[in-house]
Amino acid sequence: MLNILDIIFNAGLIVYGVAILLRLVSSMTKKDGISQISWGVYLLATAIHLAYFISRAMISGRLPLSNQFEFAMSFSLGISLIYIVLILKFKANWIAPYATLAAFLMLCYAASLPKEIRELMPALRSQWFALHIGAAVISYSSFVLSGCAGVKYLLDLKKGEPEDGVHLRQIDFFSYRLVALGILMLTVVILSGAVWAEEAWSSFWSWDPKELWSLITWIIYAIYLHQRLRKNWQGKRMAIFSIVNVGVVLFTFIGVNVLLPGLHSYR
Amino acid sequence: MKFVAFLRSMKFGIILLILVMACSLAGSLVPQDRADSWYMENYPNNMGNLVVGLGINRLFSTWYFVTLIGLLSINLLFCTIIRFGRIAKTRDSLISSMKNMTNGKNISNEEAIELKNMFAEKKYKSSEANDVIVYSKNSLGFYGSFVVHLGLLLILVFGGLVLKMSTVIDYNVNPSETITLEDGTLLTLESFRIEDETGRTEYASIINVSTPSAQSSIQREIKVNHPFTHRSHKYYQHSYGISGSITATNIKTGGWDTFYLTERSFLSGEGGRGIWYEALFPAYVIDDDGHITPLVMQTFIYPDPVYYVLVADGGGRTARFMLPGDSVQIGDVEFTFNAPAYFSGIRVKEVPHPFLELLFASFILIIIGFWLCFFHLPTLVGIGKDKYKTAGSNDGVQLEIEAFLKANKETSTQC
Repeated sequence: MLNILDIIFNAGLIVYGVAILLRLVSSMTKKDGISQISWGVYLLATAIHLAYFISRAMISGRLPLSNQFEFAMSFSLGISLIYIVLILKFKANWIAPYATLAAFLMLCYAASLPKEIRELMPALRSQWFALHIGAAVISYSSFVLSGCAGVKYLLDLKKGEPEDGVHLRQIDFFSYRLVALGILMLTVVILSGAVWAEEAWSSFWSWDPKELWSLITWIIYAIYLHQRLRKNWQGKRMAIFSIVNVGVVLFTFIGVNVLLPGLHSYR
Repeated sequence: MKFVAFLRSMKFGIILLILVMACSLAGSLVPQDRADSWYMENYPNNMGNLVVGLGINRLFSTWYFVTLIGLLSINLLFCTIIRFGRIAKTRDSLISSMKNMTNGKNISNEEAIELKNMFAEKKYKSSEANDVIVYSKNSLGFYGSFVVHLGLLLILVFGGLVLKMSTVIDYNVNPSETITLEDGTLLTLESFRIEDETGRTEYASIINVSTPSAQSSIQREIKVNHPFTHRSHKYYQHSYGISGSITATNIKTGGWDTFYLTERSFLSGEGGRGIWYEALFPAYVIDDDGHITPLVMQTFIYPDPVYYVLVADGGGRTARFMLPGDSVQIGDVEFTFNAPAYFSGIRVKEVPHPFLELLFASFILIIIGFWLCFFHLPTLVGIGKDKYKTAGSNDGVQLEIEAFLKANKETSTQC
């Protein structure tokens, strides 16, 4: 059974790779047809990825969110799904190359981790499991996509797009909306985690490294939103801010697990 | 006045947030709450002294961190009050500013009609004054920022109270053992298991709780993530361990008692005679001469347990290894070594009602606030005969109008 899972996982990874190559070719040749094919291949990759997620959930009898591999795999899927919503609902096609690459790189990281299905440890058997970790997937994915929007903003600005033009302002606005979604979900993560911790460990806050880095991430984005809403910081400054913050998000996810073990060390 | 203005300012709030962030960073890098000697041993040069001297090893209970949180609460209190006072004023002034089109953006009459149709289709509320139609949506969103700040303030206040007022005591309880809590409540461990019926790891205790005034006791199962709340106490399955079990029987009277031991202890028979319980090992090997060598390993599974004891029977002490089922008689007392028993680590928390419930209510409040702030954006659009303007916190509507007008222009050029 596990071999079939591995095949689905690797197939998804390869199809993502093909989608990126096609995207690269379409950017170089400026042909719409290739861009369309790339989009189709990307949808196929996401479908395979989703099939892997569902299959793993069915085999393990729980949501695959319990260790570093499963979270990275779901994180990549989160990026893909939010990206697809952005394209379908908001026609934000400009984000395609960056989102595709981000989802692919996160899946590559997942591929480097042990994939075996393990029994869910007693501490994780809770009704808060899906909400707490699922919200983290959405939050981190939104922050990464906001960083992708930041990269696109800076590149287009360098190409000479006017800063007050609709195009750049739209990218900026999208980046902000993604941060808003991210911080809402991060708040859900922190608070559902607090309720869960009170149920499991008797204390809603333990000053654990993961809790502290989630708080640091939350504060950084809270400052971003304050500066934007009250000081009207927009454009280039916020693009740089959202790119740099992706580093903090990744450290909260990967760095803390690897370098700062604590109550949340579920490798 | 200037001082108060600074205390309530956003600038001060952001400085405080940066300081909280810096403390969190330091607190995540330096392991917390270890013995001072640990920092001296593990940090080079005088870094250990510095860490201990500055209180970084117990950072979140230092006076400066508590002061920081206090100042943040004061800042939030001012922010919340000021915001609440301004909501109605801001909303009303924005609505009335919509009716004045002097600084609006120019559009043609046709475009104005198209825009009006667009907002009517989107089911915005509309009102008319001075030839200007004001379209509005999500006016509840004006309260978003206030609700977020109020929620955060309440989290700090109730969170602080809960942390301050909770008392937590851990007990190691052996099966059938009863312990008495500070208020006279009796807690009995009926049984403890480390696996469920299917063999899956699961730590669960069946406990019996009897309060001093209660006529009857209550029996419940507690597991990780499934504590039991009874009156002001909350009982958690916190940890577990293994203990040696020795039954002492008085041969003359027939009286007996079973002792559960986790550390070096002396079980006295008569006078100074008895046995010293030294250690319990999970397994052993036995050589050709019948000598037992215990195996030392970190485990909670004891496949071949062996006791190491010192028998004090009059003249001196004799070291011996005893297997479950073995017994030794000292005077009138027979000591029988039983199979080791698991004990349950039960955490008892005094719950500060109703602050915990209020804290959780504040959690819901802040999430509602964020939703109002970012996903229920208040939007105002004023459309006159040849001008329009937007207000509120939804920048997207301005972009939407511009994109709509641009698309309209492109369509008419093509025609």
